[in-house]
Amino acid sequence: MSRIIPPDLSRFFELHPTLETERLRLRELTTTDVPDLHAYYSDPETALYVPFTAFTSIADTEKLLGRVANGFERKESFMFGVERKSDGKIIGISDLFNLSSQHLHAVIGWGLAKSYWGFGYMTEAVREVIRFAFEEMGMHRIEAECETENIRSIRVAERCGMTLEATRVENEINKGRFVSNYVYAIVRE
Amino acid sequence: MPLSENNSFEPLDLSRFFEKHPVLETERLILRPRTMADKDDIFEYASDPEVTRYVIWPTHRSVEDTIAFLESAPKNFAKRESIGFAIELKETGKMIGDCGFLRIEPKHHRTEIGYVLNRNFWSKGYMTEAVHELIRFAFKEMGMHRVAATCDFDNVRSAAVMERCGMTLEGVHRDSELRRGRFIAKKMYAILKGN
Repeated sequence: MSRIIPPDLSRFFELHPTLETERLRLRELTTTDVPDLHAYYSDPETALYVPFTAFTSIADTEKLLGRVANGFERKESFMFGVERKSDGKIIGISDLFNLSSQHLHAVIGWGLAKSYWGFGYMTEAVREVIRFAFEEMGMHRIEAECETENIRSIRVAERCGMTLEATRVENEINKGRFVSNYVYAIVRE
Repeated sequence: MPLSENNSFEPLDLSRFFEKHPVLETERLILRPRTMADKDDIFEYASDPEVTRYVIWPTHRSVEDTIAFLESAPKNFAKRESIGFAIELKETGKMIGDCGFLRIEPKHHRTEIGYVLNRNFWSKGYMTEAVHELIRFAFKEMGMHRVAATCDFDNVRSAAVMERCGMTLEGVHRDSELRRGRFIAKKMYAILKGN
């Protein structure tokens, strides 16, 4: 058996990586992105199946950016802003967190503002983040968790080649009720 | 009013369990806080490769490793993230294993159980007895809604404990951990209050 050398992840936290796909650029978020980001984070419909309440003030979005910057500073997580190349708009996010160089795994998350649903943007972005985690960071397993009623997110996971591995029944409290989660994962060949 | 009758979705207030470490009792066992006096009993099983084959921590090579464990373990209790218990056999007073709540998440009313047992005490139902009590305590006293546990895919004994305690297999995570140079699949179990 070939020896597995734990990857040194710190180099990915020196300069924020930028990724590119046919229609999208995945890049570090900055304060100028706050208005675009706020459109996503303040929409109760997109917040329905995710464990946060829709933001009611722009200050909430600014605070979120602060937390994202902290995660990067502490070399714990990335959140890519998903920018549409054609108009430079930030249409969503995809993040990588719980990075483990010991076990070579990470958790991926994603979200897209409602006006951009239905064009395959999220799948395009998430595929690229998975490719980055496998090929560039040297990860072996990428996991995602979503509520069992979140059909759109389930489809993104499946289109990206992720497999349903577990159903965590009544695993979380979200907006005043117990919700169940699916665990999806993709393992490097 | 017992917490179990509180059906609110607010985060659980578990402060009383962290102000005074709970002590639990079953027919044959006492589950109590670990102390430095347990170091030799812990070393006995923590240095046994047959026992540590399925655990995430490295086999103890000397009692110094055990002392380091006993010194670091209370930090997670102080942070209110976990509660660990020494499993003491009432009959002899010997500490035969360890169990506890590894992840305590009051926001989601959930926790996770973990355990390990000295090989000389396998096959006597001790671990099932201890885990039954942990589950009862989590639901009835802490007010938890969900208790989870995981084990290596090929750890048949551990899976049997979970099943005897009424837990349900919710799935298998492929290549979930990298241990001693190979990837390990893990079984994910859980039980809900009232099941």
